[in-house]
Amino acid sequence: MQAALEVFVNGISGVFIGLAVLYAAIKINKLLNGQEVAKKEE
Amino acid sequence: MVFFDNMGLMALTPGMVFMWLIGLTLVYLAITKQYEPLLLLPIGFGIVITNLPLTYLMEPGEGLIWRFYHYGIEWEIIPPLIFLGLGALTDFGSLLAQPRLIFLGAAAQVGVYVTFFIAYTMGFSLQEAATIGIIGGADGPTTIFLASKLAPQLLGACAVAAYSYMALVPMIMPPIMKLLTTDTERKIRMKKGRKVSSREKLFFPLIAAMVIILLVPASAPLIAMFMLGNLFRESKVVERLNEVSQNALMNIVTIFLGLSVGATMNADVFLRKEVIFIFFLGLFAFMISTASGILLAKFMNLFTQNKINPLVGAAGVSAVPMAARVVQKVGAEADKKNYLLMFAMGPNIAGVIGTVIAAGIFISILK
Repeated sequence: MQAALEVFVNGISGVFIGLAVLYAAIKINKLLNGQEVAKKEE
Repeated sequence: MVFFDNMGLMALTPGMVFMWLIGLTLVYLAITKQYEPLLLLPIGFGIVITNLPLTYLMEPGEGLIWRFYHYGIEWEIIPPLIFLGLGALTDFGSLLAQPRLIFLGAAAQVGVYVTFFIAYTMGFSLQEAATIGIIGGADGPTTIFLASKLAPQLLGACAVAAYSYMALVPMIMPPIMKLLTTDTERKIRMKKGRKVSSREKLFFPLIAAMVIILLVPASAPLIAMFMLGNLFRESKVVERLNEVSQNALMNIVTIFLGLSVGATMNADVFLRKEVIFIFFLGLFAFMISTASGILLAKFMNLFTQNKINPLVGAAGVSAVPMAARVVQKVGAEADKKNYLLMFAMGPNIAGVIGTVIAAGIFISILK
């Protein structure tokens, strides 16, 4: 049971952390490559 | 007479006939109802022919379909190639325009882990429970990928459950969506996202592949191919590779995938009470995943001015693009001029990534 709980906690937190880091990466990507270019393309 | 002794008819069992009925039902649903026909048709046919006696199609080292299965699935070739095609088909624009929706894709993985835990308490091993739980991600190739690594004996049942529920998205999701949202919430119109530059889209697959694989190395086969396919698309310099990834290659591997998965379902393996549990648990996982996405959207609305239509949260399950279309349909029932499809595609794609991360975590802990 303890092993299952460990997987459960690690799994849910791992998915949220993984996607939170990806969220941060998207924001950085926007800062570096987003705004100016989007304006030009418009 | 030797001829009669070697007739398949003589080795026929009631279990095989029952499996024909299951296989033919899938073929029927694929053709007449068009439920995931690209997969359910070859899966259904695979079930029928593998349950014809004395064919030895799945005989290790000898059978034709066993070779497809062994080199395609056990060698982890086919699911990553499907992801290559999916990457080439995916436009990340909606996710990049509204990145906060990525968390709805994460919330939808709650169903995966809740079901994992319940399956374990019901007596399945940790590896089997993980394979059953991942059905809630509603992602066929990921389910197959994980099953082949952790619980190959459940591969056929879990894959068929995943694809069946993906096909039944228009029936399973709307009642949950309506139950958990008010009419006012369903009418919320979301603000249009910003314009995403082509350079941003070009950099995203590179960044995403590096970030995700650094965090969860076990997800590398699927994420790497997914992002490579997307890089083909966004680079705009390899149109031939982009085109072949999303069409010819994907169609070819789909044939081998469907046939191989169907052929794993012989009567001896499939007709057990555990398989019934797998189907119930898979449905439960799928429902919890749908609900948790909606509930997180409602929770996020407590802290933001720019409200999210909670229906969009349901698209966090990764049945792309069916789940997003269902969101659009249910939203339009409340407000005909509310176009939620483009917003729903964000969590829908995030759900694919989230399910792959969930599978990677299972593999890294349990293998």
